[in-house]
Formats: sequence, structure tokens, C-alpha cells
Amino acid sequence: MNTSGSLVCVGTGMMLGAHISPRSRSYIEHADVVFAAVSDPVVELWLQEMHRDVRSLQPLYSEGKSRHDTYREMVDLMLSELRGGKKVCGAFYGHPGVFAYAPHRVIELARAEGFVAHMEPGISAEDCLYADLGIDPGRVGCQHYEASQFMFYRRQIDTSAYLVLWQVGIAGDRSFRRYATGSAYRQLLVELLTEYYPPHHEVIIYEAATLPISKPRMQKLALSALIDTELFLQSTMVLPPCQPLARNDAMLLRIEELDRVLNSNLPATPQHQ
Amino acid sequence: MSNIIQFLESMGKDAALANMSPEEFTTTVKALGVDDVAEHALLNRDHDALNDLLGGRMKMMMMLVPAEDDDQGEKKPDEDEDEDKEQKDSSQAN
Repeated sequence: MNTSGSLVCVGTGMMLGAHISPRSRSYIEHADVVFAAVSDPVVELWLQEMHRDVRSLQPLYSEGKSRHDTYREMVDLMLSELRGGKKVCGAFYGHPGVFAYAPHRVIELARAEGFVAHMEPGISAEDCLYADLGIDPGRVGCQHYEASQFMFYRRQIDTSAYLVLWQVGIAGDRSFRRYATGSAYRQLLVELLTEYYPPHHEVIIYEAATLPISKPRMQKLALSALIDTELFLQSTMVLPPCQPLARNDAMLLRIEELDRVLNSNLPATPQHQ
Repeated sequence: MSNIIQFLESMGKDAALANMSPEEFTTTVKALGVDDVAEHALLNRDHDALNDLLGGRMKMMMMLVPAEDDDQGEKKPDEDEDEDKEQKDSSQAN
């Protein structure tokens, strides 16, 4: 098979003009064909100004069609051009490898067929969230889940760390065919969360800004108010901790004991005259 | 319309443009020389109006990851119907 083609999946970042890396831009500009999956129509127009052959992946979506099929078609389109010997660039909003199925899958399949394929990181919605909300995930820890998956599977939630639920606007959608789920589904999500958090616990609905003339959405509300809050496909819910960090005294004792043993085995420090 | 996108790109790239005062922003937008509708949309920071003007898509889908892999339990509408039918059949049998 002709493996002269190459594939790169790049991140465009979230905000038009602000976040794309010089290297990602260069891959876009020098590709033979660019496939685009971005979150803002103006960003898509911006990409089209960077290259004469930018093909939007948006037409692959439609309400009532399984997104599994959509993602498979994204992969097939990119592979098809790659097999034809083209330099293919997949331009995905944010980071191409964060909460994104097709970029990982197409790189995996391309490599299995002997093509050179790799990913260039981008500034993700998660990165913007930390900056806009002033959250450092290293301070008390931060858990991230896709909201529907969080509902479908039993998870061990640490309420002394942040909890971030992505794609909360379609929480509970088992069909993978809908563009939104309603308040009845959110009611179930709130019921699940109130097993861990008080109903009045303050949460944040976050949406990153995608144009430099726009502001991010950072709406604070009580957890119980989520049910009637307007949510969109790009909405994310952040739950700050509701408990302080609990010290692991048993482990701390063991570490102290280990320190004592190691220190007692240290050679004596030479005494200076 | 390309100069609107170029202006947005410059605002994205350039810290000074990103942090313009409202007065500076107005002056800069007016100096772009775009038509009144575009100028109005920019001055109002009206994302939807700008998109209409530029001819962007009406609706964007931004979900790129499924909650489950497709072999992890995707439930198709006809399966719902089958389940409903089974429940109906079983309730009728009772």
C-alpha cells in the first residue's frame, strides 16, 4: 500500500486567533486537505481563510442520527484521503485529544496501516475553565466525567475535590441521537448528585468564550436549580468541593516511621574541625 | 467580510487589542471601514448577528465524544420500541 500520506490532528484552541499554536497553524496551512470540527461557525470561517480546501465535518451530524455513526464517518473521511497519498490535517476545536473520539481513533488506525500520524495539542475548554474560574486542579484535585457516562455508571466521587461534568446539556441521553435532554433528565442527575452534595451547594455553569468579543459564561447557582437552568451543548457544570480534605493518618504514620528508619541508617555527617 | 475575521483574529492575538477600553474599541471598529450593519454587530459584540452577516452555519454541533463506546450499550430507538412492546405483552399476559 502507498503510505506516502500523513496525518496530523491539531487543536485550534477555543478562542478565534488567541489559542492556536504556531505549529498547528503551520500544519493547517501546509496540508493538502483540512477536515474541520470546530464549535463556532465564525471559527470555521476563519479556518477556511487559512486553507483553500477546508472540509467541515458538521454535515455529518444530524438530529436523530447516532453520533457513533458520525464519528465513524469522520474517521473514514480522513482515512480515505490519507490512503490517497494526501497530507491530511484534522483541525478540532480545543485540544484534539480531550473529550474527542475521532482524532484518537483515526491516528490509531492510520498508524496500524503504516502511515505517519500524530496529534498536536491545543488549548482546551478545560484549560479555559481553570483560567476563567480561577481553579487550580492541583490544589485539592479535580475529577472530570462526561455527564451521561457519570449517570450510567457507578463512580466513587471525592467530594473534597472539584467535580466537573462535561456535555451536561445532553445528560442522560442513551440514544446518542439528541441535541438536548430536558429537565426530567436533569432531575435525575440532581438526585444522583444530592447523594453526595447538599441541594443548596453552589455550582457553576461554564461555557468558554469562542470569539475575542465575547465573554465566558460563568453562572453560579444552587445545585437544585440546575433542573430549570438553560443549558446548551457547550455547557459544563463545575461542582466545588463540599468537604475539606481528610488526612490519611495511618499513611502519615507509616511515612513518619519510614523517614525515621531511613534517617537512622544515614552515615554520620563528617564533623568539620 | 474577510476584514471582520481578520479584525477578530487580531483581537485574539494581540493583548493590547484584547484589552481595549470601550472607547478604544469603538474607535477601532469605526476605523475598519465596514458597512453599518457589520459595525453595529461588532460594536454590540453580537455574535449571532456577526455570524449571520458572515454567512456562517446556523447551528454547530460541538460534541466529539460519546458517553459510551458503541459496544458499551448504545440503545437504539427501535430497541426502546421492542422493550415497550415486551412490557406491554407481559402486562397483557398478567
